[in-house]
Amino acid sequence: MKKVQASGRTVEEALTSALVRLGVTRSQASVRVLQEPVKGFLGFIGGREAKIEVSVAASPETVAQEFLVETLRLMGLVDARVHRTHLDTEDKSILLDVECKDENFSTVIGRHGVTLDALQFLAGVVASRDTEGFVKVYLDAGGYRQRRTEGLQRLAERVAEKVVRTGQAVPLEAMSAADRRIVHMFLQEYEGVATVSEGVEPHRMVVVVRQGVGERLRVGKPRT
Amino acid sequence: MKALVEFLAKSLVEHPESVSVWEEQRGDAVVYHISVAPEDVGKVIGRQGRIAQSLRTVVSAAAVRQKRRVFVDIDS
Repeated sequence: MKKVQASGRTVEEALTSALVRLGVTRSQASVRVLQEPVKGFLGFIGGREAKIEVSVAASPETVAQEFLVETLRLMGLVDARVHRTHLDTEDKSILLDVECKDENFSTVIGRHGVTLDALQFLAGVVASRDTEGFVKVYLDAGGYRQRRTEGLQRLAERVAEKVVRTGQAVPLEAMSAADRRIVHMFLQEYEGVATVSEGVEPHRMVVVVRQGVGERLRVGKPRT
Repeated sequence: MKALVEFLAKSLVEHPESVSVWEEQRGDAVVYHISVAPEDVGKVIGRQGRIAQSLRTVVSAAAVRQKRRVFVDIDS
């Protein structure tokens, strides 16, 4: 939230100068009149200028970015920076990327991305505060998301081969909904196996089963 | 560490001026107690405790860096 005060002979005049200073259009700003102008005697004696306060709500993207920068700083990662990758206006999601010293990535990401996921979720909650609906923030650091996806796909493939060979169902370790989704999607195309999720959060896991078995276990769409 | 807990809590609530954090030594660990306005309790806990859980994860990550053990409690 940026705020400025401005004054002028009329409210209109004060507003124009405030908008110029803020560099925003009228529709983005909200105006509070602090003092109505009073015309003085002969136009100059005893007159009072109009005084207003104009504020601009920061965009959800800026809110998320500033929240993350400050959080990382307070976590002791003073060198961390947060870049905007790309704003997908279609579904209001915000893509951000953390850049820091190599030895600090483990703190930002955490085991299997738990810290990165927590930061991502909190940034989404904070960015949604002044907006209608929920703004989804996607947070990456050091190319972690891509690495994790590839790692999960390799694991899924290895397990799928084993299931086809032995016919035995194989449970994977417990993982987040986003990670389970990667496994489900990847094995959808894999001949001879099906996937189901079992267990209760946060211990929910993907189980890779033989195709026929999967069909029986599955009710409707596979839940992630 | 206290500043981090306080910043996270204040970022989540409607009434940041009502947020207070106090620390308690418990053995070799420190417990941070967050207290917020009654109507804001849900904002720091979240559905199924998801916000509180994420808050703990972030604070723990910072604590591990300093080789410390911390817990976060939300007073209500």
